[in-house]
Amino acid sequence: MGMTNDECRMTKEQRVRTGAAHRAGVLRFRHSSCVMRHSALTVLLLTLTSCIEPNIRTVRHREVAAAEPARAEAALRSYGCIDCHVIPGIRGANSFVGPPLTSWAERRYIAGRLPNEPEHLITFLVNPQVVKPGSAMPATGISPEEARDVAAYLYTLR
Amino acid sequence: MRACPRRRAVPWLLLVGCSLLAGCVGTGAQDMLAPRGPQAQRIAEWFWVSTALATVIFLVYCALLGYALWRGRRNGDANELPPRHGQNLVVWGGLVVPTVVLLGLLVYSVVTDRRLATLGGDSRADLLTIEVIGHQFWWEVRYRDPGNPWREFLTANEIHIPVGRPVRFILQSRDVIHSFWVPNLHGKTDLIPGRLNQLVLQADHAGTYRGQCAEFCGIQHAKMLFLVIAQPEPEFAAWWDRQLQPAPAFTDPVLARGHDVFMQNGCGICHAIRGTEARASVAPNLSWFGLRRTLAAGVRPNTRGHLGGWIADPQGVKPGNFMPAISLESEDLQALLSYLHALR
Repeated sequence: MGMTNDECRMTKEQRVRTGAAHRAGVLRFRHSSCVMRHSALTVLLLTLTSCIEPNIRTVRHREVAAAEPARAEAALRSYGCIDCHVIPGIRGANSFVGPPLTSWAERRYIAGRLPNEPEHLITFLVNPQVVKPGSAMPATGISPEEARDVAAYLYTLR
Repeated sequence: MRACPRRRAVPWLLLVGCSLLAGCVGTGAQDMLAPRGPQAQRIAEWFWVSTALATVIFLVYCALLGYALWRGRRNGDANELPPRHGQNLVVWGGLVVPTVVLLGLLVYSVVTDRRLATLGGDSRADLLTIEVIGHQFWWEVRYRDPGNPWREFLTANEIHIPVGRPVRFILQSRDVIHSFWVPNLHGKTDLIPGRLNQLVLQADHAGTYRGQCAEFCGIQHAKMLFLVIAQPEPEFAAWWDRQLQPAPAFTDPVLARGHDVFMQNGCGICHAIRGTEARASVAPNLSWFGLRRTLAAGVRPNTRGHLGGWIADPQGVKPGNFMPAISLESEDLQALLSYLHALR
């Protein structure tokens, strides 16, 4: 420990320059305890980081090609989606006739049938009765292009 | 010195306010400043004339006030008008000019009102007559034909009129006070329980205009809309003829099933479909429903998705309306949607 008191202790001038935390005395170390506290702090921080729960659900980012999520709202409104589903971010879409579409990106299946992939979702949106005959969800008349935008929007819901 | 923040906000507020107002001026489907008939035209004229006049008076007033302040500050107390001048100012500025201006406006109002009220002339009973009955929260529409009562029919929330001739509306209410307002065509007229009100209007241009209940009538007042569709005479006549047809007896299994679902689940207790055993008039008449452009009194476009949502959960779309949700098997729901939209 070749450190002198003066080196470890900050000068008054430095303290004034370095803001509130320093002024509170946090960095006013003394000689040998200076290094020890440093290591203790490091260990403590490392221990704390392990407390943060890692996100074990690895949400894949699904890209919908040639789609614009911002255009989805108009389609969601004009085809009646909002009258049956809760859709986060769409005002007035708060009905529970069909399943809520919250956290859509994390769903594993579409209508309990198809794996939740963009192409499947678009197929289902355009013609739900083919994917799941007899479902209460009607063919709304949405075009494949509009369904693409809607799918892109739904995958932003995490 | 820093300017007072409130004072600095004033120009911004003015700017925002003016832009918002400018947004009101347009060619919308529900816009009194986009007149599409002679009466709305006169109302719009009146509006612009009185607004212009009020603006001029306001500016003159501001100029006089500014002049007085400027002169007062320059000359101090030694600046009193001779009594005679002061008297003249009061007599002219406070009596003569306002009397002339207000009388002029009054005469203009009366003339405008007379012209609004005399559309259709003296033989109004001969005009095409449409009865509109206000309900919470929808519009019952009955087309009259005194010569041929079998050519009369009922519909709801969508009023077709021929372009270019006056049409007489007889307005009444089944429950509370409503008000019939199609801003592109005319001013408001109330529908009052126990009274018949009359309104004659005319559309000079074909088009679809939106109307709105303009008298608070309950929880879904804001969602009590209707459409007025002005169309050329032949189209209008064809539409009328179509409305007189009974619903076809469908042989397609899905449509036949839809018909049965409608009849067996109590829809016919409130609704009617011409040509079927459903004949009630508690709720909108659904004859040729597939031809309608909107559903739930103008609140939603009449698409399969919206119709499904509306039937499955009407209270979700219009909380407090009188349509109950009916539990249907999903395949019955699909058949019902197909059936209602096949009525076209």
